Amino acid sequence: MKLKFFVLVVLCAAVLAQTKMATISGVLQDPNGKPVTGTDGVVHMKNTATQAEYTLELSAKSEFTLGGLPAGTYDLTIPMACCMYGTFEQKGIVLAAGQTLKLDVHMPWNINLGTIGDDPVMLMNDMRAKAKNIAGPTPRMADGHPDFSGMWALIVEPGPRGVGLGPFPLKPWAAEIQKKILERVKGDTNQLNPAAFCLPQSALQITLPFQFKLVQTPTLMIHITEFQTPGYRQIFMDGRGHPKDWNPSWVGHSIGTWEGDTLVVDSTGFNEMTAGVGVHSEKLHVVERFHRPDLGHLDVDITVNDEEAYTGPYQRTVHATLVPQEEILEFVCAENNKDPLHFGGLGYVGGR
Amino acid sequence: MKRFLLVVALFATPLWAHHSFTAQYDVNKPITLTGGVTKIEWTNPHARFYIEVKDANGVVTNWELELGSPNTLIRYGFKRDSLKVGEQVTVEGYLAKDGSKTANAKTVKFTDGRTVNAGSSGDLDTTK
Repeated sequence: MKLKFFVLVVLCAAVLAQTKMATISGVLQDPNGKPVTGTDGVVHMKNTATQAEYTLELSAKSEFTLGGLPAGTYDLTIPMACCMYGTFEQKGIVLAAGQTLKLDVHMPWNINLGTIGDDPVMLMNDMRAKAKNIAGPTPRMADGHPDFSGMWALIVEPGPRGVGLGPFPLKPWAAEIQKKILERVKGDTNQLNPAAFCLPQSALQITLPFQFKLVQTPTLMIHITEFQTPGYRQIFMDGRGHPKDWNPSWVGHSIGTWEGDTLVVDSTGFNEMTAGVGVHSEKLHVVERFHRPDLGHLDVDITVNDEEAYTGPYQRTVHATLVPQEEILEFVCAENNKDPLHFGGLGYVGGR
Repeated sequence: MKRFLLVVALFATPLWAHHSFTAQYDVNKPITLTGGVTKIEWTNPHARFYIEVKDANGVVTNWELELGSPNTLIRYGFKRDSLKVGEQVTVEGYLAKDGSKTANAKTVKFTDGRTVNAGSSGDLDTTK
């Protein structure tokens, strides 16, 4: 009898040891050795045997502790959005049952090489942290329609889908032009970037990773985006259509109509130089569906199509949160733009 | 013919504030410079300051150092008078690829011990 009990205890202990979970903890540091804060990064641990994925949101903190991991071998990834820090990866991390592994996570610089005060995504995360939790019902106009007015900070998804859009469904002729432009700049990505030349950065202004303001009246909405040139666009909501003799422009011509609580913004009249939508023609057509589900959140479903250059529609949804303590500051890009002097000398030749 | 005009059209744009420092500066060429501030350009799209650096032979070179946009710097507490002409600073950054006396500024150390670092939230307040 005693022997049976002893065997049972040993067996239970063995099972417990096997099921005891491991933990990984760490501190994110930048190449200056400073803790990395203010990011919306997510820690991903992927078990290489089972492919099971375990995640933890950093929520602007530099320290993380991710428990509940079965013993095994893992690949760690911490994706980052533009611009200060690059994505961190470490493969083959072995965790034993019950182990707590402490890891120093040295984040690489991203495209701004650690330049002081040059990460618009971190800036928006900080604005969000200052705004804290904003709760309340959707504000409404006197006529009952949702009121989208307010200062907003875009949520930029960490990882490769975060900032750049695309790839766009280009027809072969458009894809060929894209290839030729990439060959022409020989890796100097600044020459693909309209922002580096103080030109409008995107036909899809709502997708720019900058704080923006919406000002709504019953017949007009103004969309102001900091760091953008010209910085504003008008959305006409007075029942007019698109003009027939419109001079094609960088931000196009936008009209808004209501479908219940959704504002449907239809934009045409873009020129062929406008950015952020791939190689395209003047037939570019953008439809944005604005939703404000409550006081603090804005969701915009975007559909882009071009019957001449695209093989079909491109879709994307962006999200923003209210940052009422913020204001738009003036940004006159051409004030002292010395950077093109150091680029490859071709001038602005388009993007990728 | 019209299609060939599209050479100036954009693809899936990598959208960042103004430009990519990696295309202009060399991550493999870190540099540390010490000298007196001679000029501050508190301008868009990026602020800049200039320092005079004296080498071992006494030769003085003027260096141009690039920061982010004043709009972002201000929000982090880095004001237009945070750097003063004549003040001695030590700057860490990365050298320009084109060989010019230009670098980005990722760390600025003041003689009174204050250090301003890149990016990490709240680091830029030089009044601390």
